[in-house]
Parts: sequence; structure tokens; C-alpha cells
Amino acid sequence: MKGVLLIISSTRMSQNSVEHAMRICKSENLPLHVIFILDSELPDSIFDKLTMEGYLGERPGKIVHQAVLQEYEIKGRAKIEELCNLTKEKDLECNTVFQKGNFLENCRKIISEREIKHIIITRLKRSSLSRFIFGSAIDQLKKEFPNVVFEVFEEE
Amino acid sequence: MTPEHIARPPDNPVKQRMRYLFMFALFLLGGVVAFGPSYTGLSVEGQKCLGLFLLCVGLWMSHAIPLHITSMLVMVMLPVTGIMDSRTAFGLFGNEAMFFILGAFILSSILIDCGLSMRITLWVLDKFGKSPRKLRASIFLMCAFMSFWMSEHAVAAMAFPILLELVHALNLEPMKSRYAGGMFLALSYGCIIGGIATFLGGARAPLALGILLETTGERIGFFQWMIADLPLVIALLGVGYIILEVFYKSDVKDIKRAHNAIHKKVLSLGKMSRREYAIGTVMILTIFSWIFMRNYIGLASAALLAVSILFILNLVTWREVERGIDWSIIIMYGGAIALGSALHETGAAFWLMNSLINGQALSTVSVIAIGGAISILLTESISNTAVVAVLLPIGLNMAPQFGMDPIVMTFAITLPAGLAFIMPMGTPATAIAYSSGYINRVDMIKTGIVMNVAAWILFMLTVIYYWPLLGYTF
Repeated sequence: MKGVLLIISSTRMSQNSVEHAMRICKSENLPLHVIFILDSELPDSIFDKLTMEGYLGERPGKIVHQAVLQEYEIKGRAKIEELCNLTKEKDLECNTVFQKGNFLENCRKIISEREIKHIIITRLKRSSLSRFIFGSAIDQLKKEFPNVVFEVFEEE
Repeated sequence: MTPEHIARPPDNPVKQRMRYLFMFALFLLGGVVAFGPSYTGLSVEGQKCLGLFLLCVGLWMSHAIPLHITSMLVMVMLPVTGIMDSRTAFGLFGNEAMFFILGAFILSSILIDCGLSMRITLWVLDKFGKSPRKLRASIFLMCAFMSFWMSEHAVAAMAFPILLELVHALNLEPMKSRYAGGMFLALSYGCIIGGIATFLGGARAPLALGILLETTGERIGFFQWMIADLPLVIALLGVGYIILEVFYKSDVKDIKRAHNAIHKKVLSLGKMSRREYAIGTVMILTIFSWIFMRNYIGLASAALLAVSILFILNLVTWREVERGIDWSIIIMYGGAIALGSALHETGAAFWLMNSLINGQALSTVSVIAIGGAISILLTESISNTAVVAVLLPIGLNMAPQFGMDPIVMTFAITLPAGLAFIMPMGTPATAIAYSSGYINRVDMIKTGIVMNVAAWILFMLTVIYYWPLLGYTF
């Protein structure tokens, strides 16, 4: 599949990556594929915090969990719309997809299904030591897809 | 999607291996301390208890396993290693403080479930939140006031969706609007500050009561607690308000749309139902009895009586109560209280305290200052209940050495343990506020540091100038 894949999520966002992806698509006349992944990692960890440390049951945790997911969905859809409008202004072809679930799993699925060769992705701001000890989703992807070109930006 | 259906991402293998390695090292360390060479002045039981304590500190601090599973491990290890017989160990599950917190949490869950807490919150915001500044101040003070009477985490969970609606109504942009960031911080700071005011704000205060009772036989009354920390709470609310005004200046001029959204919600709730009236009355009577009738009816008995009355009047169902509380709290409490008691009974806490002090001549104010600072720092990275479970047994053994009232030591460790303002995931209330996506992490840490430093200074001023007026000796 031709084109550049821009992966953004509720926890990883960088305006520089968006501008860079558009610049490449414009200069090489390629379509832009934008995937927004609604990552449930943060709401899940809050649910855990409420139950494990707040000693609250299923109901209060569920209220917050649903509110956070809904908020991220609103923001995600707004971001996608904003990107679509931007690409239209620049006369670029743009395909958008909205996905829910784990960041790594969704990235794997999308890269395999769409046979993408060029990916622009944003990673979380962390120390190298933390990446070494706890691993990195992007390093994992690079390992699993050696033929794909990854351009990595840091979250802002 | 319900939380129990959330698909968990598979654990990172490196992370998993590190976790196993860490736990192995902890068990090894605990084992070496417990069964290795003996220490001068420490009994065999005391040595085993010290090993178990180190293991628990590591597990509670690292969250390698859930907090209550660590407590469960304590209940198993105490009789198995011969530190305490099983009858005594399991008997500590019957501690009054544990039943008090159970009753209080049930009442708090009913208050949320019947919609009374939501009604009060919306009513206050509708009445007083008529300008940007007043709206944010109303959120801040309302969250604080509600956290006086119910779990601070439950208040944050309840108020969060309301705030999201408000920022949407005002069309505020995430990370760009300082006012929106300040609104979510107002929720977090309000809940944290209000949560230390009474026994009801969080689980740590009743746990401290339980440890105090089992270790020294002393009790603290509901009113006694409130009177001791109310000036600190008021001062913190003042500092919190100033910080919100200075660091999160309002970039909103008109809040008419937000006010309309609140007003619409208030109207949609309709008139107060009989159920809400009845639950509200029982709650007020319960607080009244906690304050004024402590000589006739204990804290736990009053709480459980209130719960029973609500069931007799058919105002709640067990299913509703079940869904509002995490029952693992019983196990967490039982284990923590049993460990605290074992540390005291075997002399391990006394020995540990002597080793830590190592003959240094510290003033009582310095001990409180150090204890409070350690408590504030620890609570940023571990559960505030765990902070109390770890520090209080040692602190209570330290108190007589410095001629301190054990109640003062209980305040000195428990109050700061609730003040975690810095880390975005430090406590459920800040985690909830941070998850909104409207607060910048760096800003949150910066203002959190200012809040924590102010909290420690205000705490020390309360200790030095206010507590002696109440007759506390140290």
C-alpha cells in the first residue's frame, strides 16, 4: 500500500509529527493514512487505582473509566476531523481510521493489514533507562517490522 | 464496556522478569533478616517479625502484588513463622476501626448511589458558580467539603464527569486553557485537602486508629480529630486557592454556557425524593452521634447502626452497596493492624526505632518534622494507607522515648500521609484529574511541589503553635 501512515493516540500526540507527515505526502504526492488509537491504558490504571488504593468498588471506577474513554473519543474524533480539514486545504488524499484498544496491538494490526512501508509515530517522553528496563512499544514494533521505515517523534 | 471486560495488554516480558527478580530479592532479604544471625537486644520472634516487616514494606511500596494480598501474606506468615498464634492474628480482623471504615464506606456509597451527593454538588455550583473565579472556587470548596463526609476518591469520581461537561460547554481546549487545567486541579486539591479533615475522607485515618488502639489502647474521637486538623485544612484551602489563582489565571470571561449546563442538570434532577431525605437524615444523625455520643455508642457501632437502619427502612439493596465498595479493604486492614500489633508485641518496632535513632538527641519537634516530611514524600509514590501501615507502628514505639503523646504521633504520621499533590498518578484524585487531558504534567508537578512544601510548613506551624493549645504534650 502506498502512502504514509501517521499514528496518533489519546496518550501520544505531537504536532511536529503531523506537520512532518503532511510535508512528506505533499512533496512525494502520497496519500496520508491517519490512525487514531484510543488507548485504554490510562483509564485502566485509574480504575485500578480507585479499586486498589481508593478501595472503591466497581461502580465509581466504572463512572470515571467511561467518562475518560468518552472524553478521549471526543478529542480523538475532533483531532481526526482537524487533520482531514488540514489535508484537504493542502490538496492531499487522506484516509482516517479510529480504533479503540491497546496501542501496541492496534499498531501491529494496522501495519500488517495495510502493508505500510513508512510510518510516522509519536512516543511517550521517558528516559532511556526506563525504556531499557520496561521496554518500548515502538522498539518492539521496529523489531517486528524490520522492513518498515519508522520516523519517531516525542510527545509534546 | 464494563471495567471487568477491559482487555489488559499483555505484560511486558522484561517487566515481568524484573518483577519476579525483585520479589525474589525481597523474600531473600526478609528470610535472611528473619532467620539469619541474631541481633543484640532482639528476641527470636522480634527478628522474624522484622524480616516479615521488611518484606511487607518492599511489597507495599513497589506494588509488586496488590496491597491486600501483601496483608493476606502477613496473616499467613504470622502463625506459620511462630510470631503470633493464629487465634490472635486472625482475631485482629475484629478490630473496631475496620468495622467503622466498613460502615463509613457503605454510607458514602449509598450517598452517591441515591444521587444526594450529586444534587448537593450541582446545587452549590448553580448557586455560587456565577463567574469564572467563583465557579472554580465553588468546585474547589465543594470537593473539599464533600470529602469531609465521604471518601475523597469517591468525591473525585463523582465530580469528574460534571467538570468534563463544564469544559465542553465552555469549549475549552485541552492543554491550552489554563482555566480548564485549574478546574481539574481544583477538583484534585479540594478532594485531597478535604480528605484529611475527618475520619471519613480516606481509609488511612481509621487504619491509624486501629493501629493506635491495638498498640497503645488509646482512642481518638471523631470531633477530637476534626478539631486537631481543622486549622491546617482551612490554611491549606487558602494556599490552594491562591495557587490556582496565580498559576492558572482565568482565560475565560463568560461562563454563561457552563452555568446553563449546570442549571439544566439541576432541573433534570427534579425535586428531592423521600429516599434522599431519609438517607440525608440518617447521615446527619450518624455524624451527630460520632461527634456528641462517643461515650455511649462507639464509632463503628454508630456507622453499622446507620447502615442497618437504611436496610430496615428498605432504602438500599445489598447489590447497590456491593458495587460501591472494594471489599479487599478488610484484608488490607486486618493484615496491616496484625503486623503493627506483632511489631509492638515482639519488641521489633522498639528495636528498629532504637537502631534508627542510634542514640541521637533529637527534639520532639524535630521528630515530628522528620516524620511528617517522610510521610509526605512516601505518599507521593505509595498508597497513603501503606504509608500509615509502614510508619505508624515504628512511630508509636518512638513516642514514649521522646515523651510524646502517642496521639500526637498518630496525627504527625497520618495527616501528612494524605497530602500527595505532586505526582500525576500519586493518588486516585490527582490521577483522575490528570486523565482529563487538560492538565500539563510539568505544570502539575511544579504546583504540586509548591503545595507540598506549603503543606509541610503549615503542618509544622499547626504542630508548634496550635496543638499545645489543645493540651497535646510533646
